[in-house]
Amino acid sequence: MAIEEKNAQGGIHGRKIELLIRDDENSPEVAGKRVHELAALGVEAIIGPNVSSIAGGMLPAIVETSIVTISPTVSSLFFVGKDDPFFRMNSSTRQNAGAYAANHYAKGGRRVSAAFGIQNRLFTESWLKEFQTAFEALGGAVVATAPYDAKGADGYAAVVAPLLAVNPDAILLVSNGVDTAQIAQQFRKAGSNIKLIAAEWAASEQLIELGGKAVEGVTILQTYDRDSVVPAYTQFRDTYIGQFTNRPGYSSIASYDAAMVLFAALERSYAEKGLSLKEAIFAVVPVKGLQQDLTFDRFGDGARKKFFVTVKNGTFVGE
Amino acid sequence: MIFRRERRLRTSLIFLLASTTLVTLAIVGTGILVVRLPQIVTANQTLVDRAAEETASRIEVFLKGLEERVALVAQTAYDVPDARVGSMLDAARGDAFEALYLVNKVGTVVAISVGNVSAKRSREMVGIDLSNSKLVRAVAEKKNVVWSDKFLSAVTGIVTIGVAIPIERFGGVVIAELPLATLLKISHIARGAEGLEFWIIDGHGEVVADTGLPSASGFNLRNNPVVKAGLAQNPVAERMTFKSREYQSAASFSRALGWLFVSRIPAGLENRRIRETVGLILIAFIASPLIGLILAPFWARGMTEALAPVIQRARMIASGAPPGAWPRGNVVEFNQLTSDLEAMSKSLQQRQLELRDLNEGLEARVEQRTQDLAIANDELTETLSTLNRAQGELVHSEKMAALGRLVAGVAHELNTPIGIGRMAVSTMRDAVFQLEKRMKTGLRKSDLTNTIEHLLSGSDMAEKNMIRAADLISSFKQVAVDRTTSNRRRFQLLEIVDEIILTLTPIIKQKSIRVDREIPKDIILESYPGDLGQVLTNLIDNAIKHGFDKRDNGVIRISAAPLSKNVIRLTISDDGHGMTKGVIDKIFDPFFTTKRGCGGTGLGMHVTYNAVVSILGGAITVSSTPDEGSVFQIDLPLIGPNRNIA
Repeated sequence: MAIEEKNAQGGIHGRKIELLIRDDENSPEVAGKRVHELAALGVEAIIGPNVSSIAGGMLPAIVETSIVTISPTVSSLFFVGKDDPFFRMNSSTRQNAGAYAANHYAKGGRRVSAAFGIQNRLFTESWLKEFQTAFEALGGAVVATAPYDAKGADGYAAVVAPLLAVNPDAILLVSNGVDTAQIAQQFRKAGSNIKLIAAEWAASEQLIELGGKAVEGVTILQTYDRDSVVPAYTQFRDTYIGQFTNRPGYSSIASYDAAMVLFAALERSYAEKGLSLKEAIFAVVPVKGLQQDLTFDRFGDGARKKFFVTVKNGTFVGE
Repeated sequence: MIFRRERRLRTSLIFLLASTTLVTLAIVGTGILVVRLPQIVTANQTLVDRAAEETASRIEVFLKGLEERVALVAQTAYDVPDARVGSMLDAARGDAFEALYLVNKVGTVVAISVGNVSAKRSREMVGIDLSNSKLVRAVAEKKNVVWSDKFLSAVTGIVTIGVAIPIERFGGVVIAELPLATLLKISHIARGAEGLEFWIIDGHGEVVADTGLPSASGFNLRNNPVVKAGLAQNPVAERMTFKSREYQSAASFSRALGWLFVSRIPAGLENRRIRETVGLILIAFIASPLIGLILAPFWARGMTEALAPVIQRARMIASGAPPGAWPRGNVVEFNQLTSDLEAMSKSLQQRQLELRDLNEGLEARVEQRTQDLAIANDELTETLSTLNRAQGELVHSEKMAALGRLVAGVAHELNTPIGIGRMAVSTMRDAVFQLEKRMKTGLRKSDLTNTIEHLLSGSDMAEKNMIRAADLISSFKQVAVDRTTSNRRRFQLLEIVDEIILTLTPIIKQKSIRVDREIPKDIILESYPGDLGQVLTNLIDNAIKHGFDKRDNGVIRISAAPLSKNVIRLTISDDGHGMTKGVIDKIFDPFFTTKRGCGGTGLGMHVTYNAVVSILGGAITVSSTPDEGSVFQIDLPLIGPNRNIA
């Protein structure tokens, strides 16, 4: 959408932007290969990936080919503080998990059990560790953790009982929207009404669609304000709904923001000879995003605003 | 001039073959392209139109079949004992569906059959809440069969499509989920032509299946003009651009599914048939001249080999050798050429014989003519020597004539002193007679005194005139000697000029012509005074005869001045009629005269020229303007050249 809009305005210095889409097939190895393929095609920059484990597969190829890559959502600490062509729009897991810990502790939560998916382990384990550190620092405790494999034979139900058994005041679910919805279904099916907290990765409309009543009351952090009335955002949201019939999720917003940063940097690097795209990004930030100013520290790590929401009657409601 | 480059026959033939093939191919190729390309485009359009329809109906039929299967489950699900529902679902799912499940009216899964998951996982799905599922909601709303758009399955967690059929009696829903790959497979079957690709697009514009780019499914094509028009059930454009490539496209909308089937085939050179047609023509265009180039030398060699003996015989004729038997080949024109050459050769031989005869006769005639010419030449040589002799004689007689004139002049000059002398002598004789008479009658003293007086004056006068005559003779004698002997001696130029003027006095006085001379006394030459005199006489004579012709007066000017240490310039000019250029050019030629028939011999000036150049060793030039006069300039060395007198 961002590219269509930009091209409609005449492109960058008269040059049209071409979008090449490659599927990482949810495999870090494939993703690394795709980077080399794109490099061979002469792309100037990559927007993506959305998942930390994929980013882990891509990073060596990114460093090798020096293709500037802007991930809208990747937040794993693994990528934080590295001087490479890999930029992250999102806050790090430490920042987010820290916010979760503080939020739950403030609501009186002290004992938390956690289930984490092993599909994107790089992210989930790191996230959980950061949460644990922050939560314990506040005086809380992670009383049980259980990994689960969405593709495994055991199903999700296997993790439910052990996590409930230690008498927690909340269950922390660290996985994507689909898995979070399904594991939430299993908690409710088991008859438990325990407070569910979902890591920000699951903060999509799918969570509600697939989770149904099971995800009612789930607390989750969103990196944007669903109810924002900032014109840039509302305009984007309306166009998005017109085109895709759904509301834009956090990854759509972050992707759009990433494209904004990239276009501004491309414009600068075309205008200024000898300025690499990476240097151009540092030169143009802060760039105005849909809801916030977009900027990076010297390692290319960004930060997003944080909004805690709760699912109520099939929709996210701000706390 | 047009420069024509010579080429061998072989080269010409190769060029001919290659260019003919190329031109033919260019014309035929263009024709084929003009006719064939639109045909291909039309055929392609028909193909994509039909393909869209066919795929739509094929998939519709296929999905209808599946739908009926699910409908059967929906009708019977509540009639089957609970324990057997699971196995019934498993049987109904078969390989066709990824998941088949029953959802009750509050949105809870009550029975499920899922492929590719563990039994445990399958079991735990029973009881989950799907009240927010779009498909469940859509059925609840429509109370009719709903084919979903692409959606994320709540049970399998993958993107899928599904059909939901309401269970009327109990208000539940049977949902069957279909792997996207199934649609792709069916679409692939319908592909047929190379390059023909399909999109199956759901109501949101999401690509459900793409036979062209399997990894790119997930595209949203709502903004593609063809998709936009197709989803709105409007006629779609036959052309579209997708990812910078041109396609011919068609779309068919399935009302039952709410999906759009778009078929596309690359347009232009991207299209295989067009590319092949163009490629074939290009290959023919490149290959034909190449084949021509390979074959042409053989063909050309055949031609040149047929021509070679003919050329060889033509050469033999040219070099005069007998050509021998003439070859015959299988090319009509070559045989004609051979026949013509043979005839030509025979006629040449005939001519040659005739020429030889003619030549022999010619030699005899040339000899005869040579002899005649030799005789004529001898005669001419003799005539010429006679003429030379005659010319010499004429020159001599001219000189004699001049001498004659000189004598006449001398005689005329002598006449006066001698006449006066005679008269003085006769006066004296008369005085003596008177004295004798007186002596008879009585002589008086006065008579004697008178007689003495008379005698004294008479003798004085006689003596003076005799001396004068003697001087004249002596000077004329010198002139005559000079003229006849031609000896080199020292002389004063002024003296010679005066003598010549003197000798010419009779003719000068005849016309009261004035002769002015301006010659320094100190010019002394050691040369040939006779010849110089001759030159002066001729020039003055010429001036009087021609320059003052029919005129009674005029001025002749003679001047001299040193030109250098050893050379003087003598100038004789007149103010007479002058001469035309034609006359000046020929003036020194022998026998040239403007007074032929009036006594002119035409040798005077020739003699003058010879005398100046050959004897005096000088040079003479003439310039003249008609009606203004003529000027002769004679440059003379002070010392004349030696003459070897044989």
